[in-house]
Amino acid sequence: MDRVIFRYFPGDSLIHRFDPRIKLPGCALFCYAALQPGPRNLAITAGALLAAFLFARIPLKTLLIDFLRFVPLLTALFLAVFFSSDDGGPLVPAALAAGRFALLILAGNLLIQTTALSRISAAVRWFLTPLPRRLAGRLGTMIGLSVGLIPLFFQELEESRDALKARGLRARKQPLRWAVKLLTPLLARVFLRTEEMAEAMEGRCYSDERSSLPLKAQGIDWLFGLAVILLVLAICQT
Amino acid sequence: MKIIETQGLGHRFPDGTLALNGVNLVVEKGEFTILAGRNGSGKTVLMKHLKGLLTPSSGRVLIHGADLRHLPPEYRTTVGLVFQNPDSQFVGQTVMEDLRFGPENLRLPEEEIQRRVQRALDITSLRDKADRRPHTLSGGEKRRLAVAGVLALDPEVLVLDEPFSGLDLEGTKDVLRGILALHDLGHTILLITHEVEKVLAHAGRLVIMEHGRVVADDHPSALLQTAPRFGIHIPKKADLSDMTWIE
Ligand SMILES: Nc1ncnc2c1ncn2[C@@H]1O[C@H](COP(=O)(O)OP(=O)(O)OP(=O)(O)O)[C@@H](O)[C@H]1O
Ligand SMILES: [Mg+2]
Repeated sequence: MDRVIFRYFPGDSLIHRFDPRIKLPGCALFCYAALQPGPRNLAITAGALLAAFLFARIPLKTLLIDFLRFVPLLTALFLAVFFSSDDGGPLVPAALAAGRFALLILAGNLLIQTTALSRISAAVRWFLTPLPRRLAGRLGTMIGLSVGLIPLFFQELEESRDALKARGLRARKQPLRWAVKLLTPLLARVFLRTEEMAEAMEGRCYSDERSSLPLKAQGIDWLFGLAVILLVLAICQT
Repeated sequence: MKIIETQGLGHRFPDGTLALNGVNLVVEKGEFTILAGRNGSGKTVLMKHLKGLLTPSSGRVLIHGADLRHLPPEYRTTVGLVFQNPDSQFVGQTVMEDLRFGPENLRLPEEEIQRRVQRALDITSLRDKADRRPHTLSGGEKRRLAVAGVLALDPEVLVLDEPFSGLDLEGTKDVLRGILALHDLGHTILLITHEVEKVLAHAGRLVIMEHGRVVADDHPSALLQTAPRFGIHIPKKADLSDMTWIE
């Protein structure tokens, strides 16, 4: 149950410490680069991403196991491209498409794994500075919270599923009945938990206008931004 | 000095349940009070009123003499609530981030946030867990984190709802020691529990609720005979000084 993919992985690496205001657009630019055609570009971007993962000291083996859950999706993509392209050698473009998509997933994952939500929401708040302070604050917190609620949801899901199993109801044998029996209490519990969470937040003096995590861009952050831009330029030039 | 005072506090839920029925309770500075009573007697509802999370159907709550509904900003953090279920109280991805939540809400400057987070980590002995994800902590550690999150607001009064439920001997001792340390540091403690035999020796006052009312309020030694009548388990022939899980 303790997956590592798409979950913050606390650490102190360079990748962790990059200013999120540069990391966020940097990640978007990287995705843009990864989408450029050609096997050479795919290789370069994949190499860059792998280097970033190593730098961030993410346990690659566990990540790989977690990544397996995306294999059906990638296979579907592969097959779709394979059967839709009519130019010669459809194997290559299909593989490239699947590879690019995998890169996108991993790039997004790296961002989430190495950036605390509070830093992401501080960056979002910074980008939204032109908006009224309250609204920017609320959006920033909303993003943080909705991701924060996900583990809560999964915990409840797990418990509800086990409770059904204990009572002998299995998904494989009676899927419809199982789904209904699962969803009704699950929703009720999730609402209860959300309410509890809202109460706890209010109890901790929640307000829309909060002090935000101070962000500071240093030389190294700009260097990182520059490196991503160079990578994109190099790929788009060819 | 009175910190909290409820005057004729009543609460009726929309479904008609009368959860509180004229509660008059005064919490004095520096007290260690235990609030006990049967399931459904209104303890949790009362606690929520002390922070203004519910609106009274009748009566009122005063904090330092000021009505909670028009509370001056400096009293906003006078009362801190630690809820029963720690899991739904965590909003941060790491222990450290979770502790920042309260001070950030108060819009404190960064140095002050840091100072309070470090203090809360120290008092609850969670310093070496600062980078852990809250949901991966043990039951006792989760409870301590929930306390730490509220401590970071620097409340005068800490109200804890069933802080021992689901904890084993070690976990209970752990949390109990933390609470006693907070009391020694000058925090006023209002502890909700029906497992009084775990803490009663440390308390200076026992308040018992039944059907939304306060039915007894005295020094624990004066209530040893009466308490069982209200569903509170007191071990037979036990000395008050034995009623603690800490040697
Ligand atoms: N949201 C609600 N809607 C309706 N009734 C409620 C609600 N919350 C609590 N009650 C009722 O209010 C009464 C007091 O509940 P409360 O949770 O304060 O009890 P408690 O003393 O904390 O009990 P326990 O020891 O089980 O925690 C109960 O009868 C309960 O059913
Ligand atoms: Mg309760």
